[in-house]
Amino acid sequence: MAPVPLVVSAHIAVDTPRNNEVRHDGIHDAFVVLLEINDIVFIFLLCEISAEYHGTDGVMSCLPCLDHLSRDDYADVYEPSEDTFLFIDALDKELTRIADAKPTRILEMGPGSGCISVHLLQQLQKRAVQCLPSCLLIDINPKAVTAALKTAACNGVGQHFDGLQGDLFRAIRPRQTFDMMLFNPPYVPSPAEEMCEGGIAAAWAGGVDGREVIDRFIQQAPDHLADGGCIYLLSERRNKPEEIRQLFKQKGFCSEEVLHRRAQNELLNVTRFWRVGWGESACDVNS
Amino acid sequence: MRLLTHNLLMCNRKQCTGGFPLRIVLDTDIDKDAQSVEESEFRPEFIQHLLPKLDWEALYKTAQELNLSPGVPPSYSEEDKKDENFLRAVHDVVMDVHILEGKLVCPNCNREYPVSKGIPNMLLTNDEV
Repeated sequence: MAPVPLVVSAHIAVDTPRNNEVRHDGIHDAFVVLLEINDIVFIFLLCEISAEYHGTDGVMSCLPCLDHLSRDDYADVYEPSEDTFLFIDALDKELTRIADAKPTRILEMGPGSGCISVHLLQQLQKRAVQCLPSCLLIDINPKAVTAALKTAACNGVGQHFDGLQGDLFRAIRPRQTFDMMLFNPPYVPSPAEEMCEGGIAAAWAGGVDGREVIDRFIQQAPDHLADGGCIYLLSERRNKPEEIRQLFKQKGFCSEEVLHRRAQNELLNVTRFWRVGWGESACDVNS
Repeated sequence: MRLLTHNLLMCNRKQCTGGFPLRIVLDTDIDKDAQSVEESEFRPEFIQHLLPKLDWEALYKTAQELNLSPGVPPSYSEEDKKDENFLRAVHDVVMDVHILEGKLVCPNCNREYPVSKGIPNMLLTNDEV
């Protein structure tokens, strides 16, 4: 008898314990294929992992559609990972605050695939925010700029995005332009050679303590931040987050951790920084 | 690249100061469009918020160089900020005009920064940093 494949399609929700917490990991589309050859039944389970997942605050969150990026693209552009997801969850948690602040201009530094700022614009759009901000993407990797702009276009917010290839703020006039900055930096401690490799290495190689790019960002960013604006920055335990907060403090900034999460050997956090005298009055810069 | 973004860009060679605004030179030797106008939603409130963030002199100069019509006036008053026609003209210039192919030339040292597929490359060589 010729083998006859039998295909059973299913839609299953999977709970996976992760980071010691039970977390809905999304809806998965699954196909079970039964193939009988010589009285032996082979069972194949084919899963398509959906991008949908539940954020930590229980609100259903959703990654922007990335169908325009292929496996090959991810050889040159950072693929969304645990740090990206944490950043997105942090912005979801802050969404009311962000919507109330009515930012006009947002900067995402090092956007990679563009997931983070595109997600934010989509969420603001869902909230029916009248005046969606204009978002500038700066990446040292031209393929990342192209990919991120495509992500914006494919997700219906392309008209709010512009991108350029640059080294942090080097080509930008210091004019306190941006009301909000988002930066998921290259934070992995790495040898100096990797810092110079360019391409995909620029997405993660952070030099000594993973801090080289972060420290340059802290030196430059305040000159470009509008009064009342804020910065969301991700860092990892090995970056010494307390030192990062001190560096910002020396620049006259307050800080507050939005979210942290353990992901394998990394302890990631997203922290919000804002200038003293703007926003929360409880902040004491001399403490 | 919108003129909104162009309004922020400067020459960043260590040997050069005051390279602003960068002169836009469109690439006319190609089959595809070097410049496009893509109409986007006009939001007066957004433009009002944007005004103080713009370098007006640079924007006016650039709009003149690109022969944008009607472009923007050389200056604006408090009254203008409430005038929808004025706000619409600003919107048309900063949000809808896209530079796709060409180069940005420093008015000071003539360093050229290429623009390809709407993305300017502002990176420098090692001896310029």
